[in-house]
Amino acid sequence: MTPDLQALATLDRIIHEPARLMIMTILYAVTEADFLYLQRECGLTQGNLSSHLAKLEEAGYVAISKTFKGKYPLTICSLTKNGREAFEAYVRKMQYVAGATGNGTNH
Amino acid sequence: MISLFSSSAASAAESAKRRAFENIDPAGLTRIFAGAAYVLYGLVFALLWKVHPPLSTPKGLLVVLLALVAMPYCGEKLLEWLKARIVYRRTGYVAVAAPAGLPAQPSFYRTFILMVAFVAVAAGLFLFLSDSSKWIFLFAGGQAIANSYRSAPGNWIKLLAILGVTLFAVLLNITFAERFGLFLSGLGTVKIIDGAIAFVLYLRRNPVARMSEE
Repeated sequence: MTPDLQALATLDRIIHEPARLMIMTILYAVTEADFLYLQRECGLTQGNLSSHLAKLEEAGYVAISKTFKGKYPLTICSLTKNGREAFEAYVRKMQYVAGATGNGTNH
Repeated sequence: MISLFSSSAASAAESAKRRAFENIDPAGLTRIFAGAAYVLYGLVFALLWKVHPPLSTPKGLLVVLLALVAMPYCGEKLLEWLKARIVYRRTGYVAVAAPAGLPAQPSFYRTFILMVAFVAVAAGLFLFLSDSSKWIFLFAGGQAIANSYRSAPGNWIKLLAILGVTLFAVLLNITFAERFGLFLSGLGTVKIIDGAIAFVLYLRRNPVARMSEE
């Protein structure tokens, strides 16, 4: 197996799933966001988003807290330090694979 | 395909950040509040200055300035209360730092601080300078147009409205207090109309979300 293919084999499967990748990308870009905002941005159903967030929380990538803003209950999600590092490592690996396959236009 | 994904990963994050940044005041509430404050300040300056002479004394001015500084605390809480009831249940809550290349979103508090500073400078000019100080409104108007262009480049109606207010404030043959009041109230009215349009459009486009499970 070539090194670039080996990099593919070590991709973080938790992040690699498309819906979770969307969630991680959004949370990487913002300081924090609530459940409704994530749902609207990702276009996921409530159940789907809940289950993906639970997996990310279980992996220690996302911190979820219940809070109130002006007496309105919010489920706030944010990336943990581990989550931020894991996402950056994931992107680096993908970029490495892309570099190894040429200029990025051959597919 | 992989390479296309990786090359777009950074831009996807940047795009998400930009969208989140634009979602900070989607309903125009901050603009309405800031506009109302501008109008209030303008009226205080233009009317009370004439009706109640004590306000033209340093002590009276200090009282007004303290009131203007205290207002943002109440305004910020009221704004957050309204956001919780109108915005968070429709489009959700997000907190984000300003993305590169975009001016930082002015907070309600910061807007008031700038206003107070502007009022203090204007008061100083009112007390110490001659009528030629009216030209500072041309500068202030230009600054307002530049800020508005940076935040919403395509909103030509708003830009023309600010230009109109500025020209009125400079060209009309009135006292400094009236000129200042007119300028501030005019800018405030433009902000209120801009925010109100955004608010109506926001309510029409975003019904209250139903959250059954989380």
